[in-house]
Amino acid sequence: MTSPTVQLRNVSKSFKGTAALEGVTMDLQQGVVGLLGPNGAGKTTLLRILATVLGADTGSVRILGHDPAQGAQRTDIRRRLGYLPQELGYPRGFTAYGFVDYMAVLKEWDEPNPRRQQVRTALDKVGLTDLSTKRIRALSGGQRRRVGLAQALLGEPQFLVLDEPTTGLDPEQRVLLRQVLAEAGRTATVLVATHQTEDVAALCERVVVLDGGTVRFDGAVRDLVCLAQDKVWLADTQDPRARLS
Amino acid sequence: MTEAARSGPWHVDAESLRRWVDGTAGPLSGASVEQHVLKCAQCRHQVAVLVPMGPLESLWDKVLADIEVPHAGTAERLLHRLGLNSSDALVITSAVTLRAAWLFGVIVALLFAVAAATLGPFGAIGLFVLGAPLIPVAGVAAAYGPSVDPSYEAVLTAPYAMVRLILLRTASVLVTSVPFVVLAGLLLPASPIVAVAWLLPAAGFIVVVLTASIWVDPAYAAAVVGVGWVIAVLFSARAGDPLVVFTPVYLGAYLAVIVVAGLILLNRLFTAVPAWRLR
Repeated sequence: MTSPTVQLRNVSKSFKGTAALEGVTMDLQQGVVGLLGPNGAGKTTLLRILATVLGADTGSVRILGHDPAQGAQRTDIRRRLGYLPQELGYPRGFTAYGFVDYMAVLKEWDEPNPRRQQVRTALDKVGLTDLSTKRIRALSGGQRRRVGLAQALLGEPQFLVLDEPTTGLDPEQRVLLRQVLAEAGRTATVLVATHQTEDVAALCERVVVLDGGTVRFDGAVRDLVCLAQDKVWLADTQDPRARLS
Repeated sequence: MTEAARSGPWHVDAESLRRWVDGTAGPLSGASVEQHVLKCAQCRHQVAVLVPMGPLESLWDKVLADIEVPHAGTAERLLHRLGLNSSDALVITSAVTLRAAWLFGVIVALLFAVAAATLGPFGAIGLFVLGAPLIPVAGVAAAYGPSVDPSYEAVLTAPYAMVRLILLRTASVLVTSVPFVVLAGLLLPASPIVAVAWLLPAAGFIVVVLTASIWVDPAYAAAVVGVGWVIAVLFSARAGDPLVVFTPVYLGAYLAVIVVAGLILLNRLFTAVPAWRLR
């Protein structure tokens, strides 16, 4: 059996005395995993730790076999990581192609021709080929989000960390995104934090539910659906027996 | 009526088509084949089969590259000519700093010229002492960090060495701002030493900001340094001479700051403890 892409053991993180994560333990393997939870549940903190933006206060973190607290090992992780932050801004003046190209340089694609191929492939995957020469400020919110996704997909990373990738996307674009992520999940570990339960249902075999900084559920989507029956409604019309939407 | 019209639709024979594709058909035969191919879908299909795809794809790739790849700006081309590879040049020019520092430097030079003309020598010198060391410090603080780079978090998780990015952008700030400030200092009715004396505190502040950025946002570090400098200059101005901050005692203190902060920075860069650690 191959070793998991991510191993977390009793990971905790707090900000100014407020606990964002408490004793989180989980393993992540190849495939698409959904991360659900209400606002303030600790999803973004967990994703930022896994993307090597934040360090854990306590506990053990291993990503792709490396310890992100060590400088050289962290660089090794970053070489195989794709990350879409929750709020990704763009420097002024960049076109969609220009920004993804800039990120490709930072991802050590130094040779112009292979870099161009990578950038074009990434933009093609998210359906932005025709808009690649447009300035980002002229793109819609959904298109900007796809530029962010394109930079995360550069170089076919082994571990993809995506924070709310479907924000601002219309239904058609969300279907396209699901296809892209399902494809990526065949060879990589993809962790997707989202509020869109239908994305999780359509895309993920496994789902992790966070609340109050702790893992409340970790298992198959169908098991979560069984567990949530009579407690949560996922449709537009309210289930009178359910307490949560 | 022509032979072709009498016998129904006709098509260019394979040999003529091949010669036309190769460019060896000759002007008369070539023009004839071309006229026919424009009107005949079947012959166009035959042409598509005969044309080798390799050169076409290569040509299309070049066309796409020409359209898609943004053309390097003046600064990027200049950096490339100075020997930087295209990747490093892109990393430098993608920061707002290069444009901002240059513009800021020009504005400051003009400001000092106006101040010298309107405030009189003493006011202009005080203003120069107050502002000169803070200009490159502000540029360095604007070169990287979460408060100035909207894509900072994505940039941070890329494997490109953060220290390289920071030092490249710092160097670009210094190159584009220092000459303007020195020039402005030389325009002042004061000793030419004043025009360069500010370089020592500026260097000290920059090293402090770079070192502090291991733990805090460089913008905060620059703000603290700036407030400290303003207080020091205002005190010396109230005591009667803003140039007190350039006396040997002060210059020695700046040197000490450079050494101490520089040693901490080097220690973090070249020991096992990683610089720019996770927060």
